Amino acid sequence: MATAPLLLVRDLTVEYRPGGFLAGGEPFRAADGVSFAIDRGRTLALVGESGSGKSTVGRALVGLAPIAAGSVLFDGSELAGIDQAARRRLARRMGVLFQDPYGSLNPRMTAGEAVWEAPVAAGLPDWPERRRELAGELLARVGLGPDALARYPHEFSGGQRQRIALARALAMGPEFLVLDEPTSALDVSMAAQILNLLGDLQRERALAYLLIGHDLALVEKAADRIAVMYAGQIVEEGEAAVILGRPRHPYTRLLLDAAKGGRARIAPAELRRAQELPGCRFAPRCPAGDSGCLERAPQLVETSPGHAVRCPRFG
Amino acid sequence: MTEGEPLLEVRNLRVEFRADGAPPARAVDGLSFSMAEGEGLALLGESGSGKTATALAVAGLLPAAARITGSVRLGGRELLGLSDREMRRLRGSKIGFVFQEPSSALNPVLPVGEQVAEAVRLHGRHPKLARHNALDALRGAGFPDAAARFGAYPHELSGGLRQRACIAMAVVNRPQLLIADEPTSALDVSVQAGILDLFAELRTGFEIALLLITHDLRMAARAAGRGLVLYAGRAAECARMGALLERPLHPYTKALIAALPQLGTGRGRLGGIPGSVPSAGEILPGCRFAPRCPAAAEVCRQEAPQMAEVLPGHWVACWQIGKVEAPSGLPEVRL
Repeated sequence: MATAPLLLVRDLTVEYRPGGFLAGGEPFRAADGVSFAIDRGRTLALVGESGSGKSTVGRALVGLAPIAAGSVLFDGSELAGIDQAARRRLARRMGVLFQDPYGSLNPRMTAGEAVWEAPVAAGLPDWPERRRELAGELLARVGLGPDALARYPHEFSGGQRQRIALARALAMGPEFLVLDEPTSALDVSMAAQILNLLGDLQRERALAYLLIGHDLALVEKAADRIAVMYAGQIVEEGEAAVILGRPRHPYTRLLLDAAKGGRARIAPAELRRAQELPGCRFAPRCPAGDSGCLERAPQLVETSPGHAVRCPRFG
Repeated sequence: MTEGEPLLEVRNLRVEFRADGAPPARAVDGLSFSMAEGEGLALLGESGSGKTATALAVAGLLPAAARITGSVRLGGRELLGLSDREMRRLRGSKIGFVFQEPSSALNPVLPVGEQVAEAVRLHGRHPKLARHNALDALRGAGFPDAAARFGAYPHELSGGLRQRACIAMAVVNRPQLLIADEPTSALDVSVQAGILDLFAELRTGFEIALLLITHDLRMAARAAGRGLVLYAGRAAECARMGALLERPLHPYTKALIAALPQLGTGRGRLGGIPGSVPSAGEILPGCRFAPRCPAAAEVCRQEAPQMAEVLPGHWVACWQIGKVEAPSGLPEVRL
């Protein structure tokens, strides 16, 4: 048997309970029984439209969204239900890069301070003396010169700010990064630079990535495996080349067609309501669906080795 | 307007921003282009290329601190120098504008149908038909169940539908020119295509010319026939979108295309351009792209190249292309 995956997610469920005057109402399941595995040095891409739950899954892995049920094993340690101290110890090994680098950097902290802030707060040894040196090395690794150390976020372009956020994420020496649409706020050439840099760092440090995105053409450049999410569930998962070359789920096919510039339109989704359907959640928008699809809730089944599909027409 | 005169003619446009004590930042530096009626032209380039400043200058939406020179003529009429009031009237009737973020362009406490109708009441020819026209515009903008959703509030709609409402508002008075500034960047890929197809439909169906601002060349090809690539406030290349995508001549256009991920090419690195666009304050003597250009030679660093028509309808500002003259008289172009 191969070595255990670095990250093993089983039936992860994340619920948001309405607050305010709606308190006590039905919780909303943003992620509903999500399972996947990521090996060291590999990238799983989680794709889907806004509201599919893909970002929620990423946030739950790094402790930014509550895990209501299911299991998240990181290198053998269970993350669901652990206390804050244990979570903090594991958090050093997991990082996150968000879409908007401006929103994730403190405007009153220089790039150097941003990079050494987290290791200092975590009390990592040897840091106080070598702060500047190590921050400079990390900033250089992500392509920023030594003058960046003492400059503030507003003095950088969007692409440079994303590099600072990446240097900060690397400062703790992580083994796994959640990349939540890391290039969608950037211009094409900046996006290409960041994506290439992430690929280089992955090879250098055997980093595992969960890449969250909606642009299949971009995802193809970086992903080993792809999981497609719809209304809180994974509807298809497999090797990237298989998902993009021989997709089986009608939703994946529609997404692919849209990405290729096809004429097919995806009807506007009402994802919240989709979750209340007794049968397949995609049935109301599905070009291949029949009345039976509205009644049978499909399971994610392996249709060939390493390729799973959730569609009533496949088991 | 006489026959053959372009709908929009921009000549030697310069946009400068001055802050106290700082040297002026030139966002647009001597830009010229024209558009025919019903034409789709994409202004292409990265942040800092001057594409948004150009669009805002045409629409008269630049802040008072901006210094604008040159000429912008719509239907033969000079727009630079018009009063705010005249510009406002023009924007509601002859020029429509669609912004990147539909959520910030809509009033959150007013139903979307009312907001479209309001545009008719303010600027339309038949204010009494406001509701009727608004409904028509929403239907035309591909709003499903327009009548049922006339009273919907922006927060009740998806991002794609909010942008369709903004487009309905921009075209309800049948403008001659629609300016769209990155109208799909805030939307999912699956929704983007539909919005771009809508622009194409508005062009062919109602002869509404489209000035599309974007950094995504492939998206631009879906709605615009011609593209003008800008770099650091100047024109780099202008041609039909097909020609730009399939045989780009300027090294910058080539780099932009290499940076675009293309489906079906598998895992791997993307072509990137090292470095970034110089800031508007840095004035370099030669070609602005020279510091990042793999083909740059001495002349490129000394003198700025001018736009030249190297193939029919295909203009490029690059010393490395304009210089290579073929014996037949037609410039030799390495494709």
